[in-house]
Amino acid sequence: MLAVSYNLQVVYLGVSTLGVATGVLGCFLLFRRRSLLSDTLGHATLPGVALAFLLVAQFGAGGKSFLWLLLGALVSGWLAVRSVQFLRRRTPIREDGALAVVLTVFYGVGVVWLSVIQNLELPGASGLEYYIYGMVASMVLSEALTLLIVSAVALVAVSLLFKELNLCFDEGFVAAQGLPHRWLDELLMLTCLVVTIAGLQTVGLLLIMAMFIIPPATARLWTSSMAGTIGIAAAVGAVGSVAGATASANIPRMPAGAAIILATAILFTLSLFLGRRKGLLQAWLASWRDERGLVERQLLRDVFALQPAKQRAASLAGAPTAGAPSPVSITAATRWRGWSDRRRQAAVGRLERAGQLERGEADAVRLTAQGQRRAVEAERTQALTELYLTEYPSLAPQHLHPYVERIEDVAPAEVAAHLRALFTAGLSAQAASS
Amino acid sequence: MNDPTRSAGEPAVQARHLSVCYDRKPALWEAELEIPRGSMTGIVGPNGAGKSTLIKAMLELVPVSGGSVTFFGKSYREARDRIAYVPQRESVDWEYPISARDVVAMGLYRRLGLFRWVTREAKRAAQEALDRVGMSAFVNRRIGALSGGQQQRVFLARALVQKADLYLMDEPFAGIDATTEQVILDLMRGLRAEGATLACVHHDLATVAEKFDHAVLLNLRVVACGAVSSVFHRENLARCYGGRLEMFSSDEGAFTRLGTQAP
Repeated sequence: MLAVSYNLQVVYLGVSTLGVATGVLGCFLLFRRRSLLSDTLGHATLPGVALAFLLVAQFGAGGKSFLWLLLGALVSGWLAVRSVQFLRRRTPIREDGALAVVLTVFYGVGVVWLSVIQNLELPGASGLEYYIYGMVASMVLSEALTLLIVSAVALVAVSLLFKELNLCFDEGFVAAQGLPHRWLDELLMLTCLVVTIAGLQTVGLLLIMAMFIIPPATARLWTSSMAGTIGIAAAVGAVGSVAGATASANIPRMPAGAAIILATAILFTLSLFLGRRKGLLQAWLASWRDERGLVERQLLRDVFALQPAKQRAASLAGAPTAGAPSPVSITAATRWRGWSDRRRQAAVGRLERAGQLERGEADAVRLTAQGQRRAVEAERTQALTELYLTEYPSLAPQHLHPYVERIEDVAPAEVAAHLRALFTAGLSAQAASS
Repeated sequence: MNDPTRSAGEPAVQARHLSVCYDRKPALWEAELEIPRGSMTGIVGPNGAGKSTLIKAMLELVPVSGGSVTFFGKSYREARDRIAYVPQRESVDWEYPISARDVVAMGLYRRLGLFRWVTREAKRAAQEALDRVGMSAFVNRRIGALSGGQQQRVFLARALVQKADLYLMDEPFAGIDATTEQVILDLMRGLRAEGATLACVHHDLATVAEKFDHAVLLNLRVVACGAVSSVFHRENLARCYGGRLEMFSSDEGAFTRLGTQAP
């Protein structure tokens, strides 16, 4: 076992529970598109902390000053939330504007108070810095236990109201049913505010937002389910906090808030590339594969299009073709596609290796039997997608994409069958008229 | 088509002088209407006529600037448990990670009460409602990953678990496939046969007569309201749609199908 000092154990207990609570609460902020509100919350606690410090210094509440500062933070944070709501509901200013105004004004007021405090040279003023940048090394057991209790209460509140928290999905329905919504939103904000304040001395008010938002953002890169998002966010929050606290405890002058955020951000960045749900690597691989298949099918169709008309019609109708396909110039066949020479040659090379295309003299190519089958299939799919768009104009655009290989993949079975019947009927009508 | 004697007792919906303004701009003007019990009513009118606003005003979702509404003779708050509302598909947050079953379970929240998790019976009821709309295969699918028609069916399932007496639907037939349309229509007819009242905002004039027995013609004010056979004629439509009716008036067939005579 790795020996961990008692001090560090206390720190781990405190920050990991904070990480879990912020991660879980953050999920709901993210789902509700309220991410920026947590930033405003954090910054808006500063004037409360500073003013409370001034008052305490003035009237001398002595040893209990810590609690007074947190009370100040609570009051000014809550005022900020109400101000945002007021601006959003009663003025033409939208949410983003309201958040920006409230955040900067509150923070500005806080900075002014801080400078007043510094000019007065009051005792203990240097400790105020911890509220801004965060400090974990000095955490004592009572602080860690406070974090534990606050986090536990927040998590219990969220789990009791879990059913109702989902109601933001459909506000019209909620209002019609007379279900709680507005006060629920405020309760969520209040819970976030309390957790923010509990974590203020650890992470600092500048960066606390990241503890709420980065874990769920990371989780979203792995799963689209709600339970999965919450679970992963909790884990990321805990792991990031512990790793950051370790770094902050071991590296002199390393602020805890920044260390925790950096550790969490590393997890986020890894997920950004490796995430199984729309992670960059996966998205890039998928689009590369899609694109390759599309270019191949287009090229085969272009070569097929230059076959004699009779032969084409026969192959499309599924009749055995008389004689081998004739060679065509690949440059001429694909001229209008706007492909670079390299792209075209790469596709020809791939199809040749797959045994679907044979190279002839100069830039001539010829479809093999296998290539012919794939070209016919692609041609058919193309015709079917066009029919799909004209026959089902309200349905097709919801499902259709350019990389479709079989019409059954993008149309319900009965629709696909109908389209295939239409296509066959069209072919025989064509054959009859010619 | 519909026997008016079935509407014995208080009407399902009665609106008197109902008015709504958005920023001093009228969206609904002194609306007077009555929706009889057991009817299937289509609320039709041109774009911006206040069709959705009418439903929202009845459900107190938008501030009303005057007038009153009663449901089965009672206020909305008293009758709330008897009313199911199916909002327009566009009005919800499709990115929200919630499964089809959890959406349907929302219809039971009022009965479940606060601070309680969704019970096993509620989940089963949600499952059964999804079976009824032919969505058994998509119970755990994220709602945003479903097609438009499937989403509409999930909403209908959520209304079904409420076991309401009145269903108010905002454009249930907009942007859906033929299969879904048939499923919804069959279900609506089944509900009416069980004695429920249904009212839908509807945008397609051509299909009003085949889908509904009652109609409310709306264009900021209520132009006409009553059985389709008596209110759905060219004169009313012209009053409702104004010059925009030209595109319909050339289609005499539409009127013969309605069983009414063009004046």
